[in-house]
Amino acid sequence: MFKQFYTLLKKEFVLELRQKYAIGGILLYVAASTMLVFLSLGVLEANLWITFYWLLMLFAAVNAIAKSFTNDAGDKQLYLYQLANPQIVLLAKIVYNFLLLLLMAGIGLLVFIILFNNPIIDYSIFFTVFFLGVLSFSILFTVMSAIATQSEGSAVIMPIISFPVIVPVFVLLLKLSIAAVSNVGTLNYFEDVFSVLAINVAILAVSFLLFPYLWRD
Amino acid sequence: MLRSFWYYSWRILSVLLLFYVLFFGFYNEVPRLPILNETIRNLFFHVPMWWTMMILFLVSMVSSTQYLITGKSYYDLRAVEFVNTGYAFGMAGLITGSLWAKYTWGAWWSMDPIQNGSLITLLLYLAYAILRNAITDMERRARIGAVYNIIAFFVMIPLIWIIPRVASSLHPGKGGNPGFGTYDLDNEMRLVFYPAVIGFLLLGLWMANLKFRHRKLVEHTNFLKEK
Repeated sequence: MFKQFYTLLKKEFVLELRQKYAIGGILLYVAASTMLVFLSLGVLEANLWITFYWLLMLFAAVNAIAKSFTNDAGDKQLYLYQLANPQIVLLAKIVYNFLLLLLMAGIGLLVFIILFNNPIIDYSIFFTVFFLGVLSFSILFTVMSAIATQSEGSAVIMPIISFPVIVPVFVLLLKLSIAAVSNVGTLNYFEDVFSVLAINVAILAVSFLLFPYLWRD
Repeated sequence: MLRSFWYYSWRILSVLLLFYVLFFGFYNEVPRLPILNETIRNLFFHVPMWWTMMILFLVSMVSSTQYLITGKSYYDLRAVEFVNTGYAFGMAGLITGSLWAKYTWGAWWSMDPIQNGSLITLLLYLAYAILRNAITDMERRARIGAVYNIIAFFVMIPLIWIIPRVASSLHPGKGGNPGFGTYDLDNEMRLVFYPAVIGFLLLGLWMANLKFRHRKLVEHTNFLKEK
């Protein structure tokens, strides 16, 4: 089982490295959209800084993950799902997307700090929220991408079905990360972190149960 | 055609209860409270809407699960029609809530977490309808729709029940505010409130069931025509 997971994860990396335009495209997307914000606003207050950062990461993450199931569509998909356990396939995709988003959000953070300034006061809170955010995005958007790929015109469907689903997590993430850039303190800090984790675990559990049905054609 | 006693009884009960609520909801004595005044009567109409919506969405979620297990299109049609009816109740709940907020909070829309959460819930289920329409293959549409419907239900719970509690909300019973049940819901109001909840719930189930049966007949006719 672990070997299967490892092979699938390796397959994702090999495929990604074979066509470097995809990963380069995502990083350029982050850089270009940050430039757009920089040119239109110039200076950002701490609250706006963190809000724009998460918004840009949200849009970039939807774009990056939307195509994660299109690579193995059609006959190849049929072949893959006879060989491997569907749950392991989903897990491998989630872990791969997590690492991809970690790179993307890290570079985004670097670009934001270079172009604007560094408003982060509490690094421990910021990086906790950073990892939580990347984790939530990768879990929710991977599942939504698996659903959207099954429909015609998945490029339109992907954001429509993803944004309402991410809202509860996103609201909590913003609330938490504002505590990292200002001195307002951390009211209900652990409660909120726990809520985000609980939502993620619930979605992950439901998706694990439902994922095999997505492929039963 | 005469049907069984159970077929009619709960439908008649629903009508009687709703007439009772319509009359006594406006006629009975309510506590005179500052700011709230007569708007407290909105409780009889606003709260049952959300309860009905939740129950209808729950039935829909269970139907979707049954569809995935059995693969009978019967369950899928039920899931769709229960979401459609629940959606109408959700809209009614949003409108009655907004009307009430205008006279107590001072604005139709004050970006309160419960208002935003409810709106996102409606967007979530609108996405369900759009997702279904974006899939042309009937069997696949039913299957993917069922999966999304189940996930949507588990996302709706934090939107309506968790976020407004942890965020600062003005809504009664949320954000540390006492609910109406704590201080204001006296026995006189209970006499109308509980029948209202039951009446609207039965009405919702009745409507959804009618729509489901109609849809089933339409699909069956289409099937026969194709033959």
